[in-house]
Amino acid sequence: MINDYLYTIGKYISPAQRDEVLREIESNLYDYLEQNFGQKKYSESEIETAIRSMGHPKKVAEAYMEGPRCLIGPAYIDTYWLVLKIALIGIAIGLTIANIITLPESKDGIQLLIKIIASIWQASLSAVGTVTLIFALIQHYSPGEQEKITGAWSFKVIENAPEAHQKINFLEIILESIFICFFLVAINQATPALVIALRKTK
Amino acid sequence: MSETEKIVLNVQQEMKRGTLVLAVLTQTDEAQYGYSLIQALTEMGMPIEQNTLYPLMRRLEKQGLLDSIWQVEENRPRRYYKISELGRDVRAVLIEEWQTLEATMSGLIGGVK
Repeated sequence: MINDYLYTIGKYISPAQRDEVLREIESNLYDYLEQNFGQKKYSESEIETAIRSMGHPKKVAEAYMEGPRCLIGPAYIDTYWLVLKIALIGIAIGLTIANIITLPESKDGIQLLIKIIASIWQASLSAVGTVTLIFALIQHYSPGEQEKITGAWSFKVIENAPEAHQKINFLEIILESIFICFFLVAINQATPALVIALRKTK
Repeated sequence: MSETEKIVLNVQQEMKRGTLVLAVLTQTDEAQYGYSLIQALTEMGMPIEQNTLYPLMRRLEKQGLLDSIWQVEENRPRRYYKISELGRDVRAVLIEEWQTLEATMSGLIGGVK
């Protein structure tokens, strides 16, 4: 139980600090147990009491990290979605108009539709990438803010700590790599399209 | 919880947060580990949550106001914190600040009917 709790906290703590912070939290938990229940083998419910007294794993981690760890935090996420929506709608409208204007009259409707969809798709990918990158940078360089976790929380948030040798999840790594490649390709491919699109929309 | 209680609680927390660093610095002339410091502060009338104090002690240690040392006791490690030289200097200034603030606030509160 204590291991699972520490593992869950550790997920929210940067690797550089993780071991030391967890060691300290563990030591504090045992201090609490010792002070309240004496020196013995502790029951599940006693350990639960100690964990409750310490708090929600995410909250504990955030207290140590001074702020949540995410690419785009709660302070900016609404603005992010708004900007993204505006950018995408702008691209869709702009490219549709641009394609209709520039397409020679001889081509048929289906071809026109495919061309519009393809160019919107390309430009959208690059827009999403760029906007995300900008917001991630803003988040990274802005002072941390605290996400509020208040009131009762359930023990369900505590995840099972995997055995040491299982900790590297290969599927996760492979998926991550694929997405990173996809993202890079998208940015590379789509940037010229966006530049053209912007010129066209002007 | 009524609206008044909510507001009071909120301001109360803010006030307490501002005094915590000084409070910790006054109780660490003897080496303390986390839980013993909570008890010391609680006994003096300043109860504090574990999840507030432990990260704070760590932060103060990083800033160099506290020194820390891991000691193995009863077969398990415990981290002890003690005020550093820098901590003493900062504490002296903070105490003066506190006394000025106290006088100012007394003056302000005295004017309230």
